[in-house]
Amino acid sequence: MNLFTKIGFALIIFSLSCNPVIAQRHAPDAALKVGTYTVSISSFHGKKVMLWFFSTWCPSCQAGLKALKKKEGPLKKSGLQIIAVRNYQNGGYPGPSINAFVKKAAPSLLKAQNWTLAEATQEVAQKYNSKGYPDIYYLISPEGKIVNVAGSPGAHMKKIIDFAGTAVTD
Amino acid sequence: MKIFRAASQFVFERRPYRLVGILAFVLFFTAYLFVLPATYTGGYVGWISLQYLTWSEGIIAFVLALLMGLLVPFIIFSYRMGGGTRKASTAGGLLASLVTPFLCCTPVIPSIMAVVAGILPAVSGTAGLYVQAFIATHELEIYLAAILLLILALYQNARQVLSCPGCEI
Repeated sequence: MNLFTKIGFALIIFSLSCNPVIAQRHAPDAALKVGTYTVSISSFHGKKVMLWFFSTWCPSCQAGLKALKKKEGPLKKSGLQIIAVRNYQNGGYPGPSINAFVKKAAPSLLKAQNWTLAEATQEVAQKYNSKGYPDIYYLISPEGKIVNVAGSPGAHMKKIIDFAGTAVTD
Repeated sequence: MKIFRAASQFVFERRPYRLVGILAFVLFFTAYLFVLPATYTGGYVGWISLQYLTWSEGIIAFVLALLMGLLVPFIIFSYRMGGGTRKASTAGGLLASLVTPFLCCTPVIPSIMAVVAGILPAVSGTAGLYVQAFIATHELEIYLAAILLLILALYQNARQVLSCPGCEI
């Protein structure tokens, strides 16, 4: 492990330890924009949820999307609900719309039943991503508890698969 | 080019410096192969990095490592012969090439900006996002700048090699 990785890990641990959402360990409710509708996070209670915030200019987000696309079938079988949320104002920098972004990297996910593509509201951004990380996801249990928080799904696929359950064997 | 060729011949006719050059190339090439894909892994460095390595990153890693493989023996030679070394451009090129992959898509900049915003309220806590996005969308240009800095460092250190007090050329 080189020095930069150690510094990176230290900063990640430091910054995540300061996140109020993780400290309370319960997924707060907030509204998301899904097309012309508003959907609340609490409406997913009772299901395993991956709540993923990303910006469409971010290379690790595109890599994460492709990694999730590779596991599309098994993750669907496991019943994991994936809520892919474009960061509020796309993380402060212009980029493609969420549909254009998904269409380019993983078009089949546009119609996947266990995927919800959403735009972050200011409320959800404040509750889940107040520091404005471009790529961060939460794994939320059916009881509404946050069981894991990390960045870049592509680098942590094993954690996601373990969370999704034994149905994912691919 | 003449300066570089003369300095190379002068330094690399000595076996230890050839070995140092090869060793530096291998070490830096390996390091870059693991570090450059960190932009796709959110700063995570490990075997998974190789899964995300692209051809363009492989080429950039090779060029950067090659320059370092030439630069390190020049710097050591010049230093041992009592001549001065030019470290600023070397450090600049090295820093830009090694740090860039960790600046986009990791919590590093948001965490730093949150601390800065805590000290200086006039600074927006999310100002770092613009920096991250700029790096993410201009990564190639940053690597090219790093390569240019290392080429400049190579030129400067080649001149130092040829003009150092202990050198008999």
